[in-house]
Amino acid sequence: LVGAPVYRLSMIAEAHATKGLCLEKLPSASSSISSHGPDRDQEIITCYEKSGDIALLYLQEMEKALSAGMQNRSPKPGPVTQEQELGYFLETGLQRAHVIHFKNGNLTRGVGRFREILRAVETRTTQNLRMTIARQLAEILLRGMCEQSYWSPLEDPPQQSPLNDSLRQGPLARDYSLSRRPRVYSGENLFCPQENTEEALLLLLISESMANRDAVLSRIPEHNNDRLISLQSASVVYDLLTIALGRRGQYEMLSECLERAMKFAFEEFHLWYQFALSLMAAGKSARAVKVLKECIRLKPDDPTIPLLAVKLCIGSLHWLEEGERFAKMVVDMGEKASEFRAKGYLAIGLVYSLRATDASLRGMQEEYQKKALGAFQRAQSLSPTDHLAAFYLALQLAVSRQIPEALGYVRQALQLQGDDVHSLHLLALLLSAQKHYHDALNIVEMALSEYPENFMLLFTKVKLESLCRGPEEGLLTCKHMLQIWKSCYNLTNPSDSGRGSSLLDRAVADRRQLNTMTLPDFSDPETGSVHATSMAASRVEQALSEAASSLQSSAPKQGPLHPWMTLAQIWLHAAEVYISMSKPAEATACTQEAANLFPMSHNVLFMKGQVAELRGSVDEARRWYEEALAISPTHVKTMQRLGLILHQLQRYSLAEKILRDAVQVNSTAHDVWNSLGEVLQAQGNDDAATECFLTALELEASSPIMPFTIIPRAL
Amino acid sequence: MLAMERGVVEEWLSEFKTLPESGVSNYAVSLKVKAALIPAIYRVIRENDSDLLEPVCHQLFEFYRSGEPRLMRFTLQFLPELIWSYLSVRAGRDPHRSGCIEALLLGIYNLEIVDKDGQSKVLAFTVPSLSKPSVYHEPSTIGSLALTEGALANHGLSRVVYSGPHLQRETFTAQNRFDVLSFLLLCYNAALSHMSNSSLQTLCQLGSRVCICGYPRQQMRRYKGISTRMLVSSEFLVQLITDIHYALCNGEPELGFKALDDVMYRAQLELFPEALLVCNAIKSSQHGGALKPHKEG
Repeated sequence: LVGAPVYRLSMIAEAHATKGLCLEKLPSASSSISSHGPDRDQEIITCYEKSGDIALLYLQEMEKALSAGMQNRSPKPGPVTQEQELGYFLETGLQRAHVIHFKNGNLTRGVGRFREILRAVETRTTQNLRMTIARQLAEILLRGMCEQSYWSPLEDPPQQSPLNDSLRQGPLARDYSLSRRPRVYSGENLFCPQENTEEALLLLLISESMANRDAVLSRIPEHNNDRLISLQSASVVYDLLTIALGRRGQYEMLSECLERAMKFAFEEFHLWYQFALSLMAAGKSARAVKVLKECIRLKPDDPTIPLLAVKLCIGSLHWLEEGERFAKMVVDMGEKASEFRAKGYLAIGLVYSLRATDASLRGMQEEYQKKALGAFQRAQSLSPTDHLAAFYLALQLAVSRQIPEALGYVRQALQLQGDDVHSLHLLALLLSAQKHYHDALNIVEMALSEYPENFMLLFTKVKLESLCRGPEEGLLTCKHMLQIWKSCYNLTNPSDSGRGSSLLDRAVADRRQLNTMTLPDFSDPETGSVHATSMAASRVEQALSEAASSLQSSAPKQGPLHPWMTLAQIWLHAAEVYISMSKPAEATACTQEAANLFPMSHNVLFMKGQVAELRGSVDEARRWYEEALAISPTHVKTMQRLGLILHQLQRYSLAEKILRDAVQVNSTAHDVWNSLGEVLQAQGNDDAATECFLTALELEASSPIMPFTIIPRAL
Repeated sequence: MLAMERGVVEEWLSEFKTLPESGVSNYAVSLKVKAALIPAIYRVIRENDSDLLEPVCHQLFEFYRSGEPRLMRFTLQFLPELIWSYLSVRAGRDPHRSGCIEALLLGIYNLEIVDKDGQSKVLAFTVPSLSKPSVYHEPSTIGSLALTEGALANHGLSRVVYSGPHLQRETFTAQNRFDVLSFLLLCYNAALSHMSNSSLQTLCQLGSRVCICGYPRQQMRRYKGISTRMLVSSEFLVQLITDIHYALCNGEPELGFKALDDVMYRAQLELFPEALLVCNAIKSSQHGGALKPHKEG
């Protein structure tokens, strides 16, 4: 082979392939099969492998000669070299060997052969072959191998492998040598995969780039066949990429890959749907909704798609009007939606329920609450074994303060799903509304034994404990929460570097941006971030939850909250406990911790106002409250405190105005009604005052320790 | 349980105790030959009230702790059945019964989350990049890459953590249950090539049952076990599908497809995008799948 002219290489390769073909055709019955079978197979394989190797060498030499010739003879770029085609024999030589390996159950050698072909430097002629083989090898890596049976391309295959047919153990390595072999990719710092997913990904990325390069996108009828073939091969590559990246939880990267598939996607439902799902999994909600819309257009009968869209809309996006439209699609499908019909009613109920919370007019609130209740009842009757239907029915009843009815349904939900954390939480809040604080605390503690790291439950626990067992106990729980927070988010490993390595690293990086943002309210969302008037805060929340959900999947997740928000909330709760103990210094320190994280949060400012009040500096308190309201104009707690201060300062009409606004925002806040009564009384308006006091009294009788709406409403 | 099966299990329980340190690896090889043993152990796990369950779980844990790969795989093959047994007993609200299975599962988990030196293990992999040369390509031949934000961010090779570090767990809680189980499935996944077909079958059954219990489809599948709905997490379903995918392609097409369908059904009802994504991809790639790797029977 050394020094042989290029054309001879081709002939030698063809000769070997021909010999292999002939040997295969020879009836094997002539010789005794049992003893000669494997040997003959081996001989055939050797023929093909030799032929393949020489063919690769030939093609590489050809290309070198051609480009050299082009440079010598014509300095101008001449006519493009005509597409080289592999002849039948050369192609057989390259394709047949691994087929026989796989047929014989010798997977290790088959894979080895694939890798040899792929490691040879690419030539124009081998591009198609390489693309096919890369895809096939990726398939084997993803479907037929695992980490323990994997060996890297530069290692020798294991002596014994579970991949091989143990009954027909063939030789493990090739038994021939050539004086010249095809050139392989070489150089320093060559990336060599170390596990099956890595290798599969590398191969798929290479195939993808080839598939994209050769893409036939033209829609004219003559190209239809070519276009379909090109779509199909790209589609297989993207499916395999999804499998590989999905098992490793890399949805962000997957969504970027699938975005590149979109050029094939015109009217192709599968590609659109997969793209939408990958955006959703990567936390890119807004785009996901837009892509889902296209999916609905392509496949209007599938109830899952609009339901996915509702899930996004009522989540971090808070696009309630859009959500309502999507939910109605499912409801309108009627019987066709079968098992998803109940889910459709659940979805629309949630939309109404959230709109009721947002509505600023009491009439609107009541109307939406009624609609929500109707939808949840429908869902519950359609799917009586679904704990979610019973649970949301209970939650809606609780919000409209029908406590005994709500208790009935929450018990039903717990019977269906005793582990559900939100049902347990709701049960505790309902008991607290009936002033059974000790029972409520027992329930919370029981729930915490199953969900020890659930901060929502812990916040409720602080309140209940301070009430039942004194503030010291509450403080202990706050301390405990700080420990949990640390163990949950501080699991850093110094040795791992690179992006997304630890939740805390990401969070620290995010923190700089956070300083200029406000802290969305979640201890009291009835009046906080999700309210239409504080859209800015809600946008922050959206950004944060997108950031949080794009963190790797293995990260501990405590709901949609960002870790730093949770930490700030812990400090604020501690501050509140200290205020109740009349310890302004400690309360200030805790508030300051929260302020370091979110200096512009209305919650922090509100707490500063409370501390100032505790110290007796009314003017300072008023200043803090006014600042808080400048950021979140509908924060009811602040409005109530400010109203009281104005009352003390005898500015009755302004106090009345603020308190009336607060009542509009949240008509169930009994302390606001009470303050309003006091202000009216001071103004001499006794009748109206009495009415307010009565309302306050009545509401107080059914008021839970934390607002019912802290329980998340999500699909 | 038959007396003969009982005898086989009892013999297995006693012989490992008397084994000298040096004989472990030979013993591990010899386990393969005992045809009656594995079905008998399955029987013990399934019946759940046998007095042999506790010693069996204990012994399986000892095998895992020994560090001998063959013995570890011997234990691992029962993982799907153990997980199902644990989940079904839990759903049946008789939790004290699953005590020893629970301990075994947590034991394996706690062994697997640390490396040899007792440090928290972090599972990471390198995301290949076409802009860096590899054994299979040269960046210059790839042509122009789309210059997206992502492409720029991934210009170099980056290590990405996909699992870990994990906390030690002493008990199962509703909160950590599926984190632990997902991680166990990940360990099972790493050894899939060594798993027998009977193990893959139990895996498919686990997948189907977890997903359909308590849902209308349960009648369709005529499964008459417990009928309580089980909460699942999206990540757990993704791990399940990954394992089912292997079973599907390696000798269990029928059960595998059924399980895949059931997981997909559940993923739709739960609106889990991650699980749906992978299910769809597997289904679609299966239609075009030309090459099926061989698997010993």
